[in-house]
Amino acid sequence: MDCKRVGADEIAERYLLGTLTEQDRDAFESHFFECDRCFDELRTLRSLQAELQQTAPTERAVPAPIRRRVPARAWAAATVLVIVIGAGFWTLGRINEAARVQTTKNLPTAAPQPGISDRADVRAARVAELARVEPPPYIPLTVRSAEDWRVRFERAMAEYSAARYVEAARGLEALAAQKPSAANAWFYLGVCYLMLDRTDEAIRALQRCIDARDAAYAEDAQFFLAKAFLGKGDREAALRALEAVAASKGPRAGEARNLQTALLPLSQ
Amino acid sequence: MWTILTAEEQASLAQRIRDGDPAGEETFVRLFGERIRVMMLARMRDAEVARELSQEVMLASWRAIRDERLRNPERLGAFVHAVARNIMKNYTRARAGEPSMQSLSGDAARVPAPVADPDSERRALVSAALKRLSPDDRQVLVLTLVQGLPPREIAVRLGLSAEVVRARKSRATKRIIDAVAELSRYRRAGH
Repeated sequence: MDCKRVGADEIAERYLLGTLTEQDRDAFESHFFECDRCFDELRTLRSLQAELQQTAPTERAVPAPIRRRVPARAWAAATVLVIVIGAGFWTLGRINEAARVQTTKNLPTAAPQPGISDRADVRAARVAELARVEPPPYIPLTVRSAEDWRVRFERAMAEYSAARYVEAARGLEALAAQKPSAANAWFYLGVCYLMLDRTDEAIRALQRCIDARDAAYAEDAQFFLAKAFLGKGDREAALRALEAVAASKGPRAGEARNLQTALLPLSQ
Repeated sequence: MWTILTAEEQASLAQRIRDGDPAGEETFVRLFGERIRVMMLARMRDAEVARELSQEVMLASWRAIRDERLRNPERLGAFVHAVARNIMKNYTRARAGEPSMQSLSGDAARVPAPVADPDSERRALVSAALKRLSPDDRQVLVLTLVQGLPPREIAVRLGLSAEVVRARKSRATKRIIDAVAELSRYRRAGH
């Protein structure tokens, strides 16, 4: 099987629906185990299926007729929805404003200008949304190696997988100090700090990971470094880190470009 | 094909794992962990079973490589896939003796069981892209990916031709995929 056939015969979609023949299913799996593009599209389709499954009750409620008139009650409901969503954004903006005021106590304050301030709030809320971090999963390996460092690393990563980031960070700090060239320890330490909102320490740890020049972590470290800069509101630094990820053409490149696209208008 | 690793790189990775290089092991997990998980989810439709089997596959593959049981190191991806298939078949065979669940009928039988999707960043992008689709296109996607209906049945329900349904589905899917992953190609093309 090749990429052309995957696209032409909607193989990925049929794979998710379980309607491929056994032979085609095996052939497609064998293909996506070696092909980045087809695997990436499969993951997107899977996310699409999951998203639609979640919203399906709403979609299914719409019957089949070709052209439907929208009842007045639906317009009313839609109007209420728009107002509610609008109010939600407004509230988010206000919350963000409050947070911003708290964290910029030492900066000179200007007289409130509702229009400009609201736009800035929306931007800040959007940046905060883009800074959101999902910790990358860690699949543990049962390593028979008697090497103490490796055993302690797995122990720290067990804490990480259980979302006990304080304990994980403590273990990883010691490991990174013992072996400063260990990109994996710096990387997951950086992610732990991000999860704990210790952004400055996250930046330092991720930078150490990048300095270790381990190809297995370089791209992800740059990506999470961008997230850390976003967390600090440093959009220019975030864009530079994202540029490095995008240039790497690795698995995170697409995500990085999407983030860049979302971020550029907010930086102007 | 956009290969994840060239044949030489696959052989080199296998060698690094054999040598006990921790970075090599991590690379191995990164490259194949998600592929195995997606495969297991698609086949088993049970997140917990998929997680357990995925770990089993990673461990079995890793051990086989360390024990030098990998005959063609330059086909590491194919090897991991074969291990995954074997482990899944063994599991299914073992389960065959257990009492089966009551079979579903009608539409419900066609709908794949919802499976948790931990790929949350991608999911957020998909969600945003979905909102930009027309309600008609979205409906075609729901009928296809959630209800599992073929284009001809969707056509009957919506009063369209099967060709129009296919075109809409293809266009909508492409828009989502492009929105999530594509800006790169556009830029690489020099636009």
